[in-house]
Amino acid sequence: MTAQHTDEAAVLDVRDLEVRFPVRRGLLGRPSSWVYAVNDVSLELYRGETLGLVGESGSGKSTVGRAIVRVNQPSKGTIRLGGQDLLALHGPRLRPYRRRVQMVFQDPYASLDPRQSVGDALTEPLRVHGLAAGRRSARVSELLELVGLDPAFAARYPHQFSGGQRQRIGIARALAVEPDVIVCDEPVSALDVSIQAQVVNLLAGLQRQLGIAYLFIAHDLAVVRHLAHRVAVMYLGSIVETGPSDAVYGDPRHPYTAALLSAVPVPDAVVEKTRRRTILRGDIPSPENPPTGCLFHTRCPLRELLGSPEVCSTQRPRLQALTPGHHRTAHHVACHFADEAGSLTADQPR
Amino acid sequence: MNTPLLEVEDLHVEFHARQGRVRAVRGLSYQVDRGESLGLVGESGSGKSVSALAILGLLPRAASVTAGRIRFQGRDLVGLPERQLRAIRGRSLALIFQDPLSSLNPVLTIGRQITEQLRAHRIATGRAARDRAVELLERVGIPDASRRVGQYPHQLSGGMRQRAMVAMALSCGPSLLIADEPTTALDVTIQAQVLELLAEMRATTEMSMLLITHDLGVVAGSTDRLAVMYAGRIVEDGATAEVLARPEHPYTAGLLESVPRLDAPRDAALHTIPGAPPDLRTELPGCPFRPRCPHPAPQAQLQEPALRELRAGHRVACWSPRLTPLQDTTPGGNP
Repeated sequence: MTAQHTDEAAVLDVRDLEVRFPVRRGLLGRPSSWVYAVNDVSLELYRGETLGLVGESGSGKSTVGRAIVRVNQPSKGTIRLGGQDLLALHGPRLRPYRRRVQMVFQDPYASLDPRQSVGDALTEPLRVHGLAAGRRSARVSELLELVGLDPAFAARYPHQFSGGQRQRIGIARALAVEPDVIVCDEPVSALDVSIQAQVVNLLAGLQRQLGIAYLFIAHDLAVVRHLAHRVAVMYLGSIVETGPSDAVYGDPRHPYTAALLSAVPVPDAVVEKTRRRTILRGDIPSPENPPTGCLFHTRCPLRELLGSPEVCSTQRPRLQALTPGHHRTAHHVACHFADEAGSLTADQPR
Repeated sequence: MNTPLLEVEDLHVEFHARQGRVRAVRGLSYQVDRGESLGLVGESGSGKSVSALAILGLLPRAASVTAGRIRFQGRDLVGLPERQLRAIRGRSLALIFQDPLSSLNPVLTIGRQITEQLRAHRIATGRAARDRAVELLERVGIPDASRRVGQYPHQLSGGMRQRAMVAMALSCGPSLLIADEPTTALDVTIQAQVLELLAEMRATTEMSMLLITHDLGVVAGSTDRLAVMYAGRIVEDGATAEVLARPEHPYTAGLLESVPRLDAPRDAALHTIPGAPPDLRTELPGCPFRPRCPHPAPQAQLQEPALRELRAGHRVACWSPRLTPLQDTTPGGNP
């Protein structure tokens, strides 16, 4: 990779990531088969940037996030953080890198200890990483203010907060160790819309202020469009389309992305009652037994439109730049017929 | 006859918690006409689901209807003995929930759960009931229905389970379907399938629907009328297209503006509604939305506004409705 996204190198560079889970165990407890939750996923994240990772349940998007914070152990690939391959590090040598990538979860209540006051929950990561020694309570106040909470809340316990406030605490805890990257796994999907908007704005503001990069994992395409500079769409463990948000949302080239976008309802009765919607048939196939060829061919409306070309069921399409020679952050699609995708999206709202 | 199919009148529901009573529904009134689809929209704690449970007589033990009437096909359901309620529930009044797994019986096959219902309501038995079950599963788009009928809920995918729920709900030809967040747990492509299915079923059966959801996008395409709930009451209602295009209550307008939309330009910051919904354990003096309101009227401090008609069929409970165009809302402006 020689072309530059900006003048700096990526803070996080994930290459050819594979995560598999054993499904059946045979004799001697050896796995007799594997399910590949993540296949050949590559992505990179620059300072101050948000990459949205979208997909439906079972797409592997959360597994990618969990592999990056080393909750799931990848079976293949590299995860570079500031040039250092995390997968080559273990134990104490991993610790300084753990500080640099933090995670915010969907359910802040489940990730906070109910018997620990908010102040203690925020002090803990500081102690573990030896940060802000001698001024930890001042740092806790600072963190609470940063996420828009009253510093006096430090003495309270998680159950005394609303869902939106708890998510702010979860964000404050991730910020405590001054990370370069925060993996946000569905951070607003459990919140009511009026509260969701507050947290979305908070995340955007913190990024502008602190230059943190977000890997923003979510199923809500509209929220991702709002926050992400770039987006990657996953289906059955692989990225099928990626690129700048405006390009992917405005001109989706993978028939799955197009169908996904057309399925999102908008709060406008006239649009809803008149627009043509691409309704996918059937369910997402089981990752235990993925389709041959293109992973999406069993549900693909474009393949049907084109009279079921054989290549779709025999050959797995690779992620390719729409304009050859472009940087990895340019618009890429994994579809044999990416040029025809326009025929599916003729009259959808952009 | 044009009496409404369902008429909820000044309904009050309270929960009795250790810390005191929670007034979850505080004087709720609405109606659903024959063949109509009404969307009931609100955030958590607005009372939208509690009111549906009250209609069905399925309130948890800690809750009770303290006042009001629920007239369904002309009969008041409040205080009706369980045996009579059971004869209505599942037959002329059907429901689907957010999570089909928790409402399907895990140890009975899908087919058995449908035939049971057909038998309980004396619609069909034996072979005929089984054939009807297969036919229903086919109608809701479950492929290979004659095999699926013998499967257990855990053997079906989430979308398939929700289809099976729809089949069960429709089995006795209900006149009203209550759908409580029917697609919230589903992926967006499966949600589109289920919404299409519900629309198709309504078009072919003249069934009415009460659709309860937090998603303004879902109501837009699936309902004729829309009622927005806040703190246990309706704050605005009217034709769905009209309410979404010209919201008059600041809460409705705020909600619509805080949802990021795929069909709108990307703004720098999302609009937010400051604060959080009120605590329903305490008395609410004045308008419950006042602490979050961008332009509260002086009266809002003293008295909760009643729902009143602004335009034909469009009602709002606000002392100073926005009265579109929206730009010139002066703080404290009079209605």
